[in-house]
Amino acid sequence: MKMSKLGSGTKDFIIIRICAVLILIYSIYLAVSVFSADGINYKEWSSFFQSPINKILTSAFFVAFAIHTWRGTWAIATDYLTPKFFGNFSKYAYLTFRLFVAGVIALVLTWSFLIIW
Amino acid sequence: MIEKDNRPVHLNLLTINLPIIGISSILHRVSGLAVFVCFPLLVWLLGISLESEERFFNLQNLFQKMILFKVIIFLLFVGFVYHLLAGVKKILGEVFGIGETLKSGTILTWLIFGLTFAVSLIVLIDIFNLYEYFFVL
Repeated sequence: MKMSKLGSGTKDFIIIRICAVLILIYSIYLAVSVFSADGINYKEWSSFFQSPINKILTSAFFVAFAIHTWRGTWAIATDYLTPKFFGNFSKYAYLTFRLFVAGVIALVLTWSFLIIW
Repeated sequence: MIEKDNRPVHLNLLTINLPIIGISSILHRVSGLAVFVCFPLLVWLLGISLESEERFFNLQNLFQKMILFKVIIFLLFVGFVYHLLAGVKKILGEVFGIGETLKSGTILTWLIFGLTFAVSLIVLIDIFNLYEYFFVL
């Protein structure tokens, strides 16, 4: 089940946190940029996503989301979808879950890039 | 030679007296997974909102009228905020060694819960327009 990790344990540790910080910064940046006292309006919302810099930052956010969740769900899967809980079925439970995760990530990535660009 | 590990495993969460730090850790996972699974919905909404001004307006209207829509977005928001704050706590511990003792960790965990609650309450009051029940202006 090593294949699902990103690299060594230390590398994973650092990558998942770099992605986490990117997600945090982008979330604050987006919230500060588009929320005003009287909610969001279309003009500001659409102009935010039309700016080239924001297109790049939004893409970076989705890539960080993909990497972070791929590794995060691996941690959950290897803790709970094990023989201890699922017996002989655990291998299939694990693979099914990883396939589901891969599907969600692929969907989110392609869809978001189609929207942004 | 590695012997088979026959130590008993006791992981019944209902009988373990899990400290608040442990509960927070599990919630970090639960919130992360929940936000992840719901993310395609957010991408879908992003797509609609950027299609045209009319569709953006329709979406805003739907959000105002449909309670379920509001509740789902609100819960997602709470989960996301909690996951972010719990993540910040984790990194604070790893980088600066803050909150690594049982006592400081417990305090920090309650702080994270409190912050999540406060932010959620403010957003709840705002999106459900409950000002009159909370503030006497």
